[in-house]
Amino acid sequence: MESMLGFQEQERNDVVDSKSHSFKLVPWMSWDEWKFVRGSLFSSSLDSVAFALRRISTWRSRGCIPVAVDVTASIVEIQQKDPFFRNELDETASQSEELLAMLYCMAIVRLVNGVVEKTREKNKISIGEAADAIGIPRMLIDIRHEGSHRDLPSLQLVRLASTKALDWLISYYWEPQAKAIPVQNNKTANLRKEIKRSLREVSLCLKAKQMSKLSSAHVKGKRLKPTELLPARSKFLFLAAGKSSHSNSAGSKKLFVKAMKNALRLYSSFSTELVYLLLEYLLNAMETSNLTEHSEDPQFVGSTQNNSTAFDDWKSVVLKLSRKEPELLIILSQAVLEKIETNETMNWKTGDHQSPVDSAKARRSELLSYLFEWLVENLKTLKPVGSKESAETKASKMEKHLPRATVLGLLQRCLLASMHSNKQLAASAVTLAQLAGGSSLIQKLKKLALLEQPAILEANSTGLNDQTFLSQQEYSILEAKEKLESIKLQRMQRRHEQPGLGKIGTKRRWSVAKSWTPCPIGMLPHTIGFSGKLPALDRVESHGEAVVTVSGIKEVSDKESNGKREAEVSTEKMDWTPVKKVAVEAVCRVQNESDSTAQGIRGHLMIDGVWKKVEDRELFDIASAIKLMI
Amino acid sequence: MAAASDTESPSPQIFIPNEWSTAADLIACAPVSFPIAFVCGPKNSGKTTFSRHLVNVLLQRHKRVAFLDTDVGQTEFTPPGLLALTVIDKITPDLTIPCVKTPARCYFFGDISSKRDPTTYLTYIKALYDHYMETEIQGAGLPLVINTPGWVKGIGYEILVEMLRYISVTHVVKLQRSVLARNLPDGPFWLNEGDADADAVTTVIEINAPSQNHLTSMAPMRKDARLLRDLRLMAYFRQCFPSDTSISTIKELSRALASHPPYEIPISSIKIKHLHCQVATTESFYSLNATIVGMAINSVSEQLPQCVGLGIVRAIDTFKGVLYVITPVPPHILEDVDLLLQGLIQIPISLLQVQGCISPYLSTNVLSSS
Repeated sequence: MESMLGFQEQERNDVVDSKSHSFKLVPWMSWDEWKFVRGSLFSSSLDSVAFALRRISTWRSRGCIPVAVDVTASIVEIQQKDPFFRNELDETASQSEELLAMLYCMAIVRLVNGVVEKTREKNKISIGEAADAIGIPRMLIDIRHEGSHRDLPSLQLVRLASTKALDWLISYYWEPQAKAIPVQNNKTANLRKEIKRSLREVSLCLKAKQMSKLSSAHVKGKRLKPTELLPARSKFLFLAAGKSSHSNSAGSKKLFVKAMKNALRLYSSFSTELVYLLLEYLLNAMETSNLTEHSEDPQFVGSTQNNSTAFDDWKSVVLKLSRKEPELLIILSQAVLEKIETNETMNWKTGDHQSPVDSAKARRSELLSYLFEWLVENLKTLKPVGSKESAETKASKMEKHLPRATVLGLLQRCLLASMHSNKQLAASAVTLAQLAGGSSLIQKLKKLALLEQPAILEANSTGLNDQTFLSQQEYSILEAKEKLESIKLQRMQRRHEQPGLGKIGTKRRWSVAKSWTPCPIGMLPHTIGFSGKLPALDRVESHGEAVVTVSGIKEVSDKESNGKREAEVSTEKMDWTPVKKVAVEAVCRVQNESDSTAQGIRGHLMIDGVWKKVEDRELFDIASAIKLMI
Repeated sequence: MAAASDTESPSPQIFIPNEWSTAADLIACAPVSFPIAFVCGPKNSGKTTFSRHLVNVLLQRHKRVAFLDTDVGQTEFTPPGLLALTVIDKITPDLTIPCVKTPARCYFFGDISSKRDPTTYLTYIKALYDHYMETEIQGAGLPLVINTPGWVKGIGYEILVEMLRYISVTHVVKLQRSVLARNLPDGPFWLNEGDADADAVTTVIEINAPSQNHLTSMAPMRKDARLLRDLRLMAYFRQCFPSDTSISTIKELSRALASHPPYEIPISSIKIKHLHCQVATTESFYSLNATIVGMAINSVSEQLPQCVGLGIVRAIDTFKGVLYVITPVPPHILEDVDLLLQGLIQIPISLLQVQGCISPYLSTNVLSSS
């Protein structure tokens, strides 16, 4: 049979293909989910069992549930209704015995039909023989026969049979399946250990290599590759490495290649975990070192030098790995941004900026921004890496490793995070804009930086007395008011420009996602890479239109899931930050308005990091709320 | 999508028996302004082929022909799971080529057999017939061809009877297989004993299934049905891309779908309904992710939500509060969609299996016995 789509021929191949790889459609998203359900289903906690039953009934709706899972859940559910298994004296609310017996009996009929009938070839062997072959208790077969063709078996019998059935299902399906789950089941802890070991290996090898390079250069006066030249070491390390280089430089090189291979292998399958751990190492190294703007300065001496070296070591690990896997830099930058973001939200929560905990946090975000700046600088150097190739392939390679959309995505997040007057992030943003290659973008960023000036001033003033603090706030609120007025004006103008589009016409429920990275169906895309991430699918009970009041600003939340965070913010009494945020981000929007890439966010206002649809009326509300505050 | 091959290539493998041609001509030349033909018979008797042949014959006399497809498992012009009324205005010379057409009206039944919910199934069919009567009868009148599922025993038989009693058909074409026990009863089986004469307007035509069908045993056919459904679904989702894009293999299609920017819809502005299974509200995203859904309009009629097409819920972002849906439904129609219906139409495995991009719902090491 031919098909107009030409799919047919391929289909045959694919069917064979899928068989050889033995991929099967399952209703669970991961084996972890399966294991969790298994654990809950057989637990003694009623809540856990209820959860497992709910989830299995969800699996049923996906249509590809293994019959063993289905029937196990049925039997467990019936046992939950049976006072005999509930150890409850109160039997008033329970089912009649007749009803229970019917439920049990049907579950057993389905078990035998579903499991046994599928394994036997019809009419070749009897159901008894088939049952023996898979070790199913004979009692279940008899109950099926009795229940289908004769009288309803007694509750006592089917109750006993239900326990036997569960035992058999555990030994026939649940346990063998648990054992058959692939390697990923060696705990994440093990994985972390393995990644850590591999990373440390690379770092050690690099250290040894560089020591030897330095020493040999010292001895023979050979040239050094500038990228591999690291700041001066302590004399001791230097000498130690020099010695070792003479004895086994070839061996160490072999070791290094092996360590790199291992690390890259781990990266390819567990990129997120590896990046996370690498970031941890980097941060720890930075934290212990007395990092300042001059940390690259080779003049450093004394105890700080060793520590600063640790950071440099990790930096070189990052560089080495990213040479092979350029994506690493981007993922790492993203991870840093994520950390900065969470750091910021935590700062908001605590509010008070003078506690020692906060100073540690401030230090942390300082480190993070520093790290981010360094990473972005290195993103820039990704270009000349492939210098051996022709210019053309270089460009295409560059595009492959660093698509513009990704850079813009990073830039966007970076800008969001840099709301809190972070010079390093702002500088990084400019670098990113350069990478993205839009001159207008750079211009806008510069303008934005100017607008942010008062905010920065204000942030610095936190140590001053309340009077100044308040007046600063007042100023920023005034400014916010102006921005809002201008947005209002813009909206009105736009309305004027497009008279054809009515109020309803402009509202679009369905819109095409603005940016999309290919990823498997059922997963959410990472900003980069094709691996995708598993979505969090727990649904927070809908509370309809939650009206959240942020310092007098009324704002209608149209999302269910992030209502919580907004609520937390709103509880702060003297925290004016949201207002400022609204203001500054409103500016962002105005800036973006003329940019063609920002089409999708027209008519939206960034509130709390989320683009919200804003109607004129709401804008007026916000403006008047601000007036009230002044 | 209309058939890509406009060239007149008669289907080589399909041989229309004389008996069939005579039957089709009889219906086409019937002394009624627009015949309503009901094609029924057991599985594998050639109902679909006869229906399509009949449509072609009718198209020689009429500009357009309406086609009511009630075989949810093996749909003709739509992806499976839909009950659809399609208007056809073009002869498709090669009857072996499945082609996807946008129906005039359709409902998402969400399963490949009517057995799970006969009542809803019949409600939808009656609604489609009513729609045909209300809208098409006023004009020149369109002939209607009704294709039915091959389930002719038990509840399936009762469903056929109820359909025949509701729809005022002019011709009932009964395809007969050589194994008599599989066939529908002789004569106007849908009538009660007494009023056999009352329904004289309906002509019953009994024709034999082509003999080569006897050679194909049942087992491989069933397997093919699954394959055909997958192909229909893939042909349907192929429409997400312009027809001039070079997607000719399944691999290319699944890769293209994985990278296709989906529609995003705020969770708050869409309703979700699970048709055939009970799913807790808190669990509904676990149920919905990476499945095929019917895109329906709830606002017009809540009892009978009209379906405008299918979609794949390709991802759900609960933090952003959006669903990501891939669908070929054009944006202006999509705008009215406010209800996602989840049935049991399984997503073709090959769509989840892109190299280096394997969906999380595909797993290895699954015990085969289960």
